[in-house]
Formats: sequence, C-alpha cells, structure tokens
Amino acid sequence: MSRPVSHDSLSRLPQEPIPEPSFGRMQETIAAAQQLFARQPVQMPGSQVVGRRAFFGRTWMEAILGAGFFSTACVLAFVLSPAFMLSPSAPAPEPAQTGPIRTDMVSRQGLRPADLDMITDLEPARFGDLRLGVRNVDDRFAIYHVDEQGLEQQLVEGRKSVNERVGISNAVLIHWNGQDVLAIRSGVGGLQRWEAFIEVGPRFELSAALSHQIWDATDSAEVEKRLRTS
Amino acid sequence: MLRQEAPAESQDVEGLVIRAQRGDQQAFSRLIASQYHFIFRVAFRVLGHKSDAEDVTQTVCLRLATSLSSFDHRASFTSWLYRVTMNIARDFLRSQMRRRKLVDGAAGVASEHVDAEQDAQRPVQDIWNAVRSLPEKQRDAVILVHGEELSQEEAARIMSCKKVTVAWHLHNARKALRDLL
Repeated sequence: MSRPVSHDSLSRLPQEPIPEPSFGRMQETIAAAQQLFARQPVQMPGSQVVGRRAFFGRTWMEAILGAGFFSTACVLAFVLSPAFMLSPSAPAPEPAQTGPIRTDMVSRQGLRPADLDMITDLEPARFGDLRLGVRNVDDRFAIYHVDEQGLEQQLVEGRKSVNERVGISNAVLIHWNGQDVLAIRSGVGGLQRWEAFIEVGPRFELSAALSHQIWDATDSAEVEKRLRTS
Repeated sequence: MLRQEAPAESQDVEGLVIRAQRGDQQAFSRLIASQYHFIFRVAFRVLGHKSDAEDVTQTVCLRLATSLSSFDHRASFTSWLYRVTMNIARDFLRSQMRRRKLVDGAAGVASEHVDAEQDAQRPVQDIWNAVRSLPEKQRDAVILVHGEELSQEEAARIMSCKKVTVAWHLHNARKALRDLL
C-alpha cells in the first residue's frame, strides 16, 4: 500500500540542528556594528543622500563657485552676527542662571549630552487644541507634547544632520479602542512620516504597531480612517 | 517549532527599528543583539557552516548599521531581514565557490541507493546539504517554508515573487530531492 506522504521529500524533512554562534564573535560583531552605526549620519527612510557634493555641485567649476559662495556667506554671517556688532565697551552677556541643574550638567559632562530642554527653547507647533513642539540642537532633535498645565513631555528624541531642522507638519488626537492616540507627522523638509503615540496613564508612548499602519498616510483624515479600520 | 515572532516581540522589534532609524544608538544596539541569533540561523540554513554563517551574520549586522534607513516599513522588518540575510548569504556562496562543493557532496549522496528505513536514519545534515545543493530559488523556498516554517505567502514576500512561484519552486525541489534522496 502506497503512502503518499512518504513520496514528498519535503514534508519529511527533519529540522536541522542549528549550532550556537560563538559568544565572543557575537560580541565583536555587535560592537563593530554599534561603532559603525554611531558614525553614520542620520537619514530618514527613503531619503536621498544630501552632502557636500550635492551642495557644491557635480563639477569642479561648480565646486569652486560653491566653495567661494559658502566662504562669503560665512564671512558675512560672522561680520553681521550680534556678537561681532557689540562694541568693545559693551558689557559681556550675563551667564545663564546657575543652580543645581547646571551643576548636574557639568558633573555629567562627557558621559551623556545635556537634555535639549536645558539648551534651547521649544519651537511650538499648534494644531487645534493640540500643543506640540520641537527642539533642534546641532545633530539632535526631540518632539514634545505640551499638556493643559504647560508641562512638556518628550515623545521622541533622535539624531539628524547638523544643517537639518526637524519640523511638525500635522498632528491629530484620535480616540481609538478606548484610548487616546496622538498621531504626529514630522520630518525634514519633504521627508515626513506619521507616528502614533498611545496615551498610557499621564504619558504618551510610541506605538510601533500603529505607527506602522499610518506612517505614510496623506492627511489626518486618512490616519483616522486607517486606525478605525484596523 | 514556531519560527515566526510572537506579535509582542514583533512590535518591540518594529519599535526599535523606528527609534534606530531616528539615530537612537541604544535602540540600534538592542535591535542588533535581539536579531543576531535570527540572522545567524538563517545564514546557517543557507550555508551549512558555522564559521561561514558567522561571517555572513557579521556582514549583515554591519550592513544594518549603514543601511537601516533604506528599510521603508512596507513589509515587516523580519521579512526585510530575511531578504537581506539570504541575499548576502547567496553572494557569500557565490564568492566562496562553496556551491560546487555542496553539489559534489550531494551527488555523492544521490549515487547511494537507500531504502526508506535507511533514509530515515540518514544524518539530517546530509539531507539539508542536498537542499543547499538545489538551484537558488528552490533552495530558498525550501529553507523558508520547510526550514523556517513560514507560509508560502510570507516566503513569496521575502523572495519578491508570487505565491504560485514559490509553490512551483517547491514542486521542482520536491522532484529534485526525490531523485537525490
């Protein structure tokens, strides 16, 4: 009597034992990848590489002209800067208020960068009753939610190119599955994406699953539609 | 054995990916650490050698450090990582000319006449070496569907083809292995 299953080599395939990778090799690889990642400029998904070459052009002549223009702009920026225009007799700007927080920053110097809210003001962004904001400092940025009392909650923090500014282009608060979901569209220039934050207690927390559903929605109506049908 | 990630784990991974794409180094470290064994396992299935699989795993991890931004969330990160790993493993095989050795080895296996009982006792490694000797598409289909226990739909997404194409590769692999085994 024939056994149909026995003729199917694939259905009888036993699972192959997989050896354990060596721990030392794994640590080396992870460390090497971390170092390489730390040296990479942050690039949002799907973005094009924009570097000095793109800025200065594709030919040597364009590069020379671009470099000349850039140098002139730097000199003008320096000459016209408020610090340069201060007369020598003008009093030096008062140092910022010092206190326990500043002391704390000094003590952490070299270990971790200072929190962005201690360095620069919030760039507010308002969408109806929603109060949000962004901080851009050097190669770092963070996005915040501001509640009714004016208290800020940092939603996400990340890295960017020094000459880029992350902005918020849209936001909406949606009641979904008994929870409030804050959807924010942010990015650099035309490279924008939606992210979803679910209200958990007094805070909003990033939801990878919902962000995955809405990241490329065209507007807040489509965000709401996608969440309602999920 | 269930190879696919549980939903909660999958969400964790997707969250780490999003944060890493924003430049969060801690998230990237956690992502790499959490995916290392997965990458190694897939690489080993394609290559059949531990040290080779570790070489490919290293290449994939370094590639992630430089190319994570190219992941656009159109598919799940796991599907994308399958594709990246299998592509790099394939390139590794081509460059190392190991495929020829595997074919030779499999031919040796095929030349032996064995009955069903002996077949059942045949070392598992030999059987999978025979799978690795198949043409690339057939091999990938067998590894994904019967090794990783993915659905044919998921295998099709990873292989960038239609489900019916995966079924066709499996059909051909089945015929080839029936001759070999």
